[in-house]
Amino acid sequence: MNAQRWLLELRTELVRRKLPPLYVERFVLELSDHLSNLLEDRMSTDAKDLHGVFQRLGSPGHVAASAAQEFRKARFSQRHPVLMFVVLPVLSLPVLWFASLTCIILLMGALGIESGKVDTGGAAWQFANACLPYTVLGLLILPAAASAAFFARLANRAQVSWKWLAAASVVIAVLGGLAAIDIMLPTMHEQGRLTLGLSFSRYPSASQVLQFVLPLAICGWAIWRQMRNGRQMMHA
Amino acid sequence: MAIRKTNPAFLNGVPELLLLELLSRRPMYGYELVQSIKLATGGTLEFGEGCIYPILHRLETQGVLAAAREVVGGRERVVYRVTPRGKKQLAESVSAWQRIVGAVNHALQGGERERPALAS
Repeated sequence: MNAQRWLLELRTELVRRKLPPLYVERFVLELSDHLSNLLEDRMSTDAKDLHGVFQRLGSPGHVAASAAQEFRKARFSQRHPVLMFVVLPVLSLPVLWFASLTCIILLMGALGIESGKVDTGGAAWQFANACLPYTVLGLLILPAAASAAFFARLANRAQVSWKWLAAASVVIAVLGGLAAIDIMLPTMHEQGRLTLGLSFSRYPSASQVLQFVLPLAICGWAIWRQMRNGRQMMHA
Repeated sequence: MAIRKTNPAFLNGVPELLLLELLSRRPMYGYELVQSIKLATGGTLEFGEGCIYPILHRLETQGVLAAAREVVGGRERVVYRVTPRGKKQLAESVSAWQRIVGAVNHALQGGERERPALAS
């Protein structure tokens, strides 16, 4: 077997194991460098035992199997950071908003506040009306904060670059900051209203500013902590 | 690096430990690293040299190592270096390794006999 054939077989084995093309290219390039070094060393020691060179390197099948095994050992979030830290944050907020909305609707149902049979003077209606300003907290601010905390933890556990966490936090902050809600409880004469959507205003409300800043603050704190730990280890 | 049959199966995680330790001393490219391992272990650990790269790539994906193309000895090569996260992981691995070695040595030297007998 010669070097070219060994590399060709390696490429075939890597492709057969469905490894990504970019990874295959890089792998073959590095192995090609390694092989050149091995062959140069053999020449300098005047030993022409090519079989020994390939034995030291391992068979193409064995090396490709090892590559596939190690590639799959990496976490999903490490292998697909764009999906995990850019796409998933976009999806996570609507899911959390929907879950929060469902909770609010179920709670209103439990309190007996339904359109058409509302007693505005009743204790339940009065209580719900008093709590209305805080629903913004539950519906918009908490999901954004929870989502940021989740991705901060995920990035830390997956040990991905801080840049991915920064990307996730910007996505959450922008999406979270644009979210707006309008809630009105039903009365005797009017049906209740609950509107959730995205709106851009040149003069955002205090809640929107908080929705924007909180995810950035949480992720910023996580990145700072990650970097501080890294620096401490460097000096240890 | 895939440990050959000559090495016991319980050496899981040892290649990573060795790679991190050697790369923490200075950045190296793959071939250089393989030579360093041989030198550092006195040739005790044998492995398929081609199998070192998948481990290096995984450690890079995990943010433990950073790789960059650099010209070394007149040739462009992929040079690996340990990141701050890698240093942290190395410290933890060394500590765990020393604990395990200590415990196994203790057992091999008759540690079992020193344990108090269980009440029957």
